[in-house]
Amino acid sequence: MATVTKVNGDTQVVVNVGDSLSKNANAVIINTGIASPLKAYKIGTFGATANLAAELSRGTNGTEGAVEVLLRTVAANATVLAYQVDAAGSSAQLSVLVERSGWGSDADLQAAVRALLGSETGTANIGSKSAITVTSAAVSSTGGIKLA
Amino acid sequence: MAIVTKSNGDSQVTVNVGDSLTKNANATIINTGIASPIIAYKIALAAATTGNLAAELSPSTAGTPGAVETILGKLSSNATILAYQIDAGTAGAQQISIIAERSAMSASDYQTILRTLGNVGSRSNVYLSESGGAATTTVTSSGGIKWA
Repeated sequence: MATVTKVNGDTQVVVNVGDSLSKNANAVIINTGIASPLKAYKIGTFGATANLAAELSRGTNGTEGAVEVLLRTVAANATVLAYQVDAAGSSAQLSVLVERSGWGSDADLQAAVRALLGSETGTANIGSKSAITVTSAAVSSTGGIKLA
Repeated sequence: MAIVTKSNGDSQVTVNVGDSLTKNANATIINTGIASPIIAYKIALAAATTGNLAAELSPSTAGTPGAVETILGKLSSNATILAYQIDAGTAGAQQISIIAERSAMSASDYQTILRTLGNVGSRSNVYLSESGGAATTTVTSSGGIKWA
């Protein structure tokens, strides 16, 4: 929306392109500018030495970076709009904003991520430059777009 | 994007509809699905705010705009708001998260504007500056879209 010119009514639901009917409640994404319902996935717990910034690029031998692998997994059932990596080590996190998500639940996506195998290693390490272990990866969207 | 099918290159900048040339780094929004650069504002309200932001999504019974509408209105004069969310209901922890595109307003400028507003609550006290005069509402965008 270019400007808020509402003269009556509430600021939730009536202008919300979302799939939630919650009204005037906390922790609900109110989508006024994107054509379809949004979802925000927080994906983390990749191990103590994870470095997702390095994993934005491929390995020296062309192996996919872990971020690419994770995004492709998410994109199998959603359209990725934007993403960001943060921190390193045990608090490394990939934040993904998607629209039209068809993932049944966070648990479904989490299971898909945990099932990933590195293309070279054949193990749960999907990193091209550092160890990105998905065995205990955690996925949640319950926080919505609350910023850290 | 429907799916990541990149066969070479990195996962940042080359596909990024953004205004940052930072490459392969943490805390940088990588925008692949929204037509113009996006920015995420985190607004942490003043500690003296005892109001309930969920209630402030609607106007008062007399038609006074809710605090959320007032806060959004100040940003939308210089940006297009795509989505927003409120969180928490306890004093000192209330937060509004906003994703906007084509923003011409820095976080510090937005903060300055908000701090001039005082109590903007329609149903309860929502101080953007402390009732005693100290201005403690903070606006940041440096965290990007890292989900809490």
